Formats: sequence, C-alpha cells, structure tokens
Amino acid sequence: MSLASKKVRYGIVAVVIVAIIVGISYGYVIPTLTPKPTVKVGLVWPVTGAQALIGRDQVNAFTLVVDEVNNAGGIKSLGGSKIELVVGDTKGDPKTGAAEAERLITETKVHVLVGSYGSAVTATTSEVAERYGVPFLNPDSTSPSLHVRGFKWFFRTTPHDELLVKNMVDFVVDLGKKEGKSFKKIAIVYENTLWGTDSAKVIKEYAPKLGFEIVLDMAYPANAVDLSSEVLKLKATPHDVLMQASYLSDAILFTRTFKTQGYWPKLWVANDAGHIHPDYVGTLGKDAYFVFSREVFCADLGAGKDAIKKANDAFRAKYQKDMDGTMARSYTAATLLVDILERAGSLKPDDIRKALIATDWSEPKVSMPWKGIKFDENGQNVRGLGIITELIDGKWRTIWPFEVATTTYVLSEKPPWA
Amino acid sequence: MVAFQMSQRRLLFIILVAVALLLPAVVTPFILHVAIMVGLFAYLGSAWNLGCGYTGKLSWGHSAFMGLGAYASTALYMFYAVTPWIGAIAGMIIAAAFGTLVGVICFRLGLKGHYFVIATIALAEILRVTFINWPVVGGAWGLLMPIVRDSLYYFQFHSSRLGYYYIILAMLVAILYLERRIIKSKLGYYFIAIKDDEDMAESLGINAFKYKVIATAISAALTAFGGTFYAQYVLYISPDTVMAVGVSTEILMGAVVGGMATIGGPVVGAAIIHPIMELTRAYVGGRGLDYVVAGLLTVGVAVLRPHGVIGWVEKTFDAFASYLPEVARS
Amino acid sequence: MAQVIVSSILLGGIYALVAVGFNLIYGVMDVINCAQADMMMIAMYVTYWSFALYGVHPLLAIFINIPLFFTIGFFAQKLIIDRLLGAPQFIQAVATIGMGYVIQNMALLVWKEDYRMILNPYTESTLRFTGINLSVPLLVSYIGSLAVVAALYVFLKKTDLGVAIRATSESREAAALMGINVKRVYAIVFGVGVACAGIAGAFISTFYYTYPMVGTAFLLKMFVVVVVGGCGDVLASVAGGLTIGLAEGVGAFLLGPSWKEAIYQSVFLLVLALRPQGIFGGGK
Repeated sequence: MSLASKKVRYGIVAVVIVAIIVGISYGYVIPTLTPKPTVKVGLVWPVTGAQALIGRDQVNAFTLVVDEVNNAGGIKSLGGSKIELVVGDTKGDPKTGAAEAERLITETKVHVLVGSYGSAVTATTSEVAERYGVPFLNPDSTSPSLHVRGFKWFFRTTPHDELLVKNMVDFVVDLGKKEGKSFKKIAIVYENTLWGTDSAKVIKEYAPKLGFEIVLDMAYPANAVDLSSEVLKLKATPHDVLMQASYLSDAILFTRTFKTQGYWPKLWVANDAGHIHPDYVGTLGKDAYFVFSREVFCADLGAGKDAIKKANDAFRAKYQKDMDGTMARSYTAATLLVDILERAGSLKPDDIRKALIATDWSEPKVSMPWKGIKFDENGQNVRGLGIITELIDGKWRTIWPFEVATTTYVLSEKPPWA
Repeated sequence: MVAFQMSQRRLLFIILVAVALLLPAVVTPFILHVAIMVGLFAYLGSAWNLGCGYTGKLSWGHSAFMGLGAYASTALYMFYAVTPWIGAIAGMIIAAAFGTLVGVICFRLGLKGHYFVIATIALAEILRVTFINWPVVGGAWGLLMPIVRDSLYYFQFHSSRLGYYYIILAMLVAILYLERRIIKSKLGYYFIAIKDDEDMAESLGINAFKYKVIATAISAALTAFGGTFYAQYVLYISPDTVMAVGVSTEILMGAVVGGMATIGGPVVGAAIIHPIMELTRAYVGGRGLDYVVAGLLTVGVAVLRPHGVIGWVEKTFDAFASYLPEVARS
Repeated sequence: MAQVIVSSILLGGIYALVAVGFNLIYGVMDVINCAQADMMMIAMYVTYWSFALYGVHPLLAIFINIPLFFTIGFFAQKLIIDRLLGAPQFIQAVATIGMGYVIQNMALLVWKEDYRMILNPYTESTLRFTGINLSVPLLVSYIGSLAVVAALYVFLKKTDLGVAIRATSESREAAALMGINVKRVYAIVFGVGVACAGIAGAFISTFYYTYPMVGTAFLLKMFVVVVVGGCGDVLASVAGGLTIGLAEGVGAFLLGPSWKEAIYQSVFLLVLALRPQGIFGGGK
C-alpha cells in the first residue's frame, strides 16, 4: 500500500463524515435560522392531467384574491405580512397529492393547505394535513364521506353531495308540481370513477323515497372513445328525466352523440362538473342550450348580491369569462382565508384553527348564494346551499329555488339543434 | 487475491447498508417518502423479476396481483378488523391462485412472446373492470382506509413515516435474499433453462408448463404483499390506482432499466427512475416533465445498454470498493 | 338494435385505421411501436391547428399529414428505432413506451391539457337512413380506413417497392443477398406506418376531441385489434377492428357500458384461445 492510497482512503472517510454532518444540519439546523415573514399557503390541486383545466382555474381564482390583498398591504394583523402561494400538483392522483401535501408541509413549511378537488385526492391530502396538524381548507370536494372522519384540522366550505344531489331531485319534484306534469322515471348516466359513482349513489338512495323510479342505472367508462351504445340504450329505455354526471370531455361527446342519434330527454339535469365548465358551451355553442345543472354558483346572481357581483367582475376582468361553481368556491375560500388570518393574528396552527372554528359569516358577506359560513363540530359548513341553473341563450341562469331565480326556466320539448 | 477483493466489496456493501439504515435521520420527510417509494418499486420490480425476468415470460399485468393483495388485506381489515399482516397473507394466497389461473390459461394456450404480454394486460384489465363494477369493495370509489394511531399491529404509522421505511427495507432485503436462494437452487436453474430455450429444456425432461406456472404464482404472491404495503402507506386504493396498466408499467420499468434476470437490476432501476421522477415533478414543476425524463431514460437505456444498467453500476461499485481498506485478509 | 350494430361497425373501422400502421411496422420489422397512438395524437393536433389557424378542412389535412408524418417516421427510424433493433423485443417495446411518454408530455407542455374539437358543418353532419343515424364524419372515416388498407395492400402486392418490403419481412438476410437495401426499406416502412397514424389522426379529429393523452385511449385497443385480426397482416386489421368494434358496441348495449373494457378483452382472450394466430393471421 502506497502513501497516496492511504491519503485517498482517509480523504474519502472524511468526506463521508462531513457529508453526514452537513446533511443533518441541513435537515434540522438551517430551517430554524432563517425567519419567515410571509404567510405560506399551499394549494394542492390537479394542475396537470385530466383535470388540469379545473385545477388551473381554481389556482387563478385563489390567486386573484391573494394578489388583491397583497397589493393592499397584506394581512394587517400580522404586521402587513404578504401571502405567498405555493402550488403542489396532484395530477388528480391520491398518492401524488399526498406526496405533494407532505412536501409542502415539511419542506416549504406552509401554514395552511387548500385543496384538492377530486374527493379521493382530498381524502389523502387532508389526511396528511391531519397528521401534521396543519389546517386544511376544502372548498370543492363534495363526497359525503370526507367530514365524518373525526378530523380536527379539516374544514370544508362547500356543501356536500348529500345536499347538492338532493337538490337535483327536489328540483324535479318542484318542477313537476309547477308544470302539472309527472316526472316519475329517472335514467341515471354517470362516469364510472368515484365522483360519478358517488353522485349516482345519492340519487339512488334519495329519489325512490320521494316516489321516483330509477329505470336505468348506467355507468360508463370515462374517456370513452364512442358513446353511441350508451345513447342508444337511453333511447331504448322510456324515461322522463335524465340525470347525468360527466366530466367535460364526456359531456361534450354525449351531447354530440345525442344530436347524431336524435335523442332529447324531456328533462335533463346534470350534476355540475363537465356541463357547467365554460368550455362545454364554448365548444358546443348553441347545441349546449337547455340543459339544467345543479350548481353552487351563478354569475347572474350578482344582480341581487354585491359580494357575488364584485367577485365575478374581478374574475371576468382578468380572465374574460364568468366564474363557475368551482372557481367561485375557490375565490370564496380565499376571501375566507384572508379573514381567518386577520382574526387569528398569528401563524400558529392552534390560533388559525381557533379562528376557523369561530367563523361566523352571514349571508351578505359570502360571495356565494349561501346563507353564510359556519363550521359544525366536523368542520363542515352548515350554511351552504345549492341552486339549479339552466343554460339559456348561451348564459347560465339561476332558475331554482324559485324564490331566488333570476329568470323563469325554459322547458324545451325540442332540442336546441332542431 | 479473490478473498482480498471480496472483503472490499463486502465492506462497501456494509457501508451502503449502514447508510440505508441511518438515512431517515438525515433527510427531510419528503426525501424519506421518495426513499420509501424507491424501496417499494425495487421490491415490486424484484417480485416481477422472479416471475418474469428469469423465465423470459414477461407479464405486463402485474398490477392485478398488487391490486388483489391490496384489496384483500384492506377489505379484511375494514370489514372484519383483521390485522393487515394476516390480511396480507390472505392476499398472497388469493394472488397466487389468480396467478396460477393466469399461468394455466396462458401457458396451456402456448402463448409466447408478445401474445403473452397482451394476454396478461387483457386479464388484468378484466380484473380491474370487475372491481370497478363490484360495489362491495367500493366499486370505482375504492376503499378509504380508516386511520388509527401508530400501530405495528395495524400496520399504520403517522407521527413519522419511519416505520414504513424500515418495513420496506426489510421486505426488500428479504425478497433479494429469497431471490438469491431460488436462483441458486434447482428451481432457478429450471427457470433459466426455460428462458434460454424452452424446447431444449423440455427435451431434458423439465416440465416447462409446471415451472412457468410456479414462477407466476410465486411472483404473484410476492407482488401482492407489496400491494398490502402500498395500501397501508397511501391509505386509499381504487381499481384505477392499483390495478391499472400504468401501474404494471411502473413496476416493470425499474427492472427493465436496471437489468432483468439479475438480482440487483430492479433495485438499481427503481433507484434511478423514481427519485428522478419525483424530484423532477417536485422541483421543476408539473406539466409532465417527470414522465418526459423517465421516457428519455428508458429509450436511452434501451439504445445504449439493452440489458440494463446493472453492468455499469457494478463497475462503479467495484471502483468505489477498490478505494476501501482491506478489513481482513482471508 | 340495427343501429347498434351499424355504429359498432363504424367504430371498428376506426380501430382498424389506427392498427394498420402498427401492423405494417410489426409485420416487416418485428418492432412493437407503442408510440403509434401518440404519433396519431400529434397528427390530430396538426389537423386541428391547420383548421384553427388556417381554416384547412380536416379531410384536406390528410394531404398535409401524409408527407409530414412519413418524413417524421422515416427519420425516427433512422435515428432511434434502428439503434433499438439489436435489443430484445421486450426492451424495444418498453423503449417505444418511453418514446410515447416523451411525445405525450411534450405535447402536454406545449399545448396544455385543454380539449380541442373541430367544429364545422361537416363534423356536425348526420345522415339519416331508413331509421338509422350515421354520423357523417364517422362514416367517411370508415370508408377512408378501408381505402387506406386497400391502398396498402395493392402497394405491397403490386409495386416493386412493395415486393421488396415483403421480401425483407420474410427474411432480412435473403433480401440483403438479393441486393435490397434493408436499412432503407426499414426506414420507408416505418415512415409509411407513421404516415398511417397521420391519416388516422386526421380522420379521428373529425369526430373526437384532441388532447395530449388521447393516445392512451386508443393504444390498448389497438393491441387487441392487431392480435385478434392477425399480427403483421395489413388486411387483418380490418377484421380485427370489426370484431372488437362489434364486441364493444353490442356488448355495451346489452350488458352495460361499464363492462365495455372487460367485454372486448374477453373476446380477445377467446380469440387467443381458439385461434391464436388471429382471424386472418398466418405468419407471426
């Protein structure tokens, strides 16, 4: 053994030891040395993948509010701290969402997490937040199973499917009374991933209790190449109401296939998502008219409520389109978050949580057609409401509950392309 | 001379093992997560390798076995409060049964080469669609695992992911050891004979059909255990997340890039692909760049080193080893 | 019910169109090109942008796509695929999957994830015929795919180049001995195969929406169609497409769409069991 190789050997050992020491200090020491003056908020949404359009829109809506607040001087009770948004991409996948949530919490050290659209993804991301004791704000996932897990840190502003899907059925009942018609037979068509299946489940549980008969229960594979068989099955089954839960691409393909196959339901109520997305009417134009949808928001309600008008005008000014329910809920969650941070006056998780629990927003304050925001012991907002909208003349109009309707509905016997 | 070199390699190996054991102490939880994922796919890739790499019968439907394992243990836990450890065994048995079925169908039909590959995809897809339409196990929704306190018995750890890390490390070591034993045994000899020339092996009296089915069943059972681990780690499973073709691709990619029919191959492959993908996604931002990188890597490896990068890695390993002092003369 | 069958047949024709190029490449070069469907996706984008930016009718775009994609395929073969030929077939397949990933995600990076659809009177039109509704774009694409298959068949059987290609697919060595430039043949074949994907893309964009991941929707089906019809046989693509289209359409109508995928996969397995070489397959 030569002297040179002895030096090399000791050199390597020394390097390895130093590397380990540096590694430990990087992990533990450095973070505590640098102070953090900004409020870090993690947005965990699908910004790539099949739901990327929706994820991006939500990020935009949220950013709109935060930019406005930052420009006006930040969070006053925190000495003018600005809010910094960090986006984690879930790709619409629960495992990835959880990994991103964990990364945002442990590496970026966010104080609050917001997300995550798809209910399965929210299930895992909020679980990560719960583990670390980070407040999790959920503006947009509607599965009824999310708030009953006994979580301390989970807070959901949106009403969930038990309420929203019931709206669909209640609407049909009301419509039947008003028209003096009977809409007894329901055909349910839904995409066969968790969201569609969930929506269908609620309809199947609730509708029969009100005297409806489910004559067709048809799940179809999402992103199907061709939907002729599905539409033909609809044509072959006599029914009064079509209730549909589809994402954007399927919604578009279905409507086109309706047109090709000459199918038009007597009454067609969609469950949000694909049908309410601006690109639905954007792509189909006139052919998209006359579909009803359960919704949580409609731009035309701005006429009656300032908070809604202000929100939609701001969004429209920047993005040249009206908000839909998902964007609006993201916007509203942002306004709520600002309010919470102001009231908490601190970035400690417990203080933020206390502020969340103490939330007591009344109707005029919330930029949604809700009675307000107040969380029950499960973290669920109990003042949320749903509406039914209809696509009339290229714009979505609120038509139910009839007391808040901005216009009368149109029940068209002929399809819009006739 | 030989003893001299072996102790150097052994020493380097021991150092690496020590690093692996101490890793959690010096990394952030996110890096730990990446390490756990690497461990999981190294494990799954090895399980795949056992059934496919050595026999030359390359399945692209292994997600079916993973899914079966995940569903079996999760369902038993959620509906009958059976600890996932026992549930995992049930899962392994079910997967082995399904694997045997797959093997019998495919090999009885004499399917070879790409016919076999597509057939495995078909069978996995049928299983996936069946689960989507089966409300008892949650249908398309899948199963959301209820969270309990940290518990080895119930296979969940929350205050830190450390438990998962050491378990997957143990699983990996176990499967590598098992692999080594099988390869050096008569069974392994039969597998490789079948891969090299099946007709020749038959003429030597080896019942190719029987051993191909055995290989599939063993591989299936081991993959299923990985499925249980996944379920306990992510705490949510659905047909699209554990039984899809994309998952099968993820499983075999590591083995292919690293080197099929070698013990270290799947480990090396997983260790290369997964960290690059996770870190690309996290730090360079979404937009699918991580898949671009994975794709480029795969093409690059196929062009430059079709038998996997394990050859390179071994050379590097030896180079490092030569710097180490001898620990003992033989 | 007649409507169901007709719609299913039309659908089957489309699958055949996607599979034709793949079959050609596989038949001659023994290469499994998993990126075929993704090339089709790029073709759909080219067609879409020609329409959106320059008002080119999608059917006319076919004449843009053919030379464009032939060139792409030709050079792709020379630069990449050729290097892969030494590797085991499975590795080749995995590598082409890698290529597919790259293509898909580069498309995602550049064009984002929005769905794009070509809307003009042509793509909206329907033919109503003795109680059966036919979507015109679908019908035209069906006829188009038959035409492509026929053209390829004639090309392979009657032209000198076609004969050279068939000779090479029988045996590289023999072909080389006869003075055929095997490397060039391979490049041409790959070019033609990808050009077929280009044609398919143009046709499909007349009735389906374009997005970066659309390739994956077609890929699995394409494999099944190829095997059911007969690997490597261009004509067989039609048979395979028809079978799978019918299995899917009729099966979905009778058993429920949620089982669609399981149904055609089962038919596939049945064919494998009863007639492994495919309905028309004779060779590989």
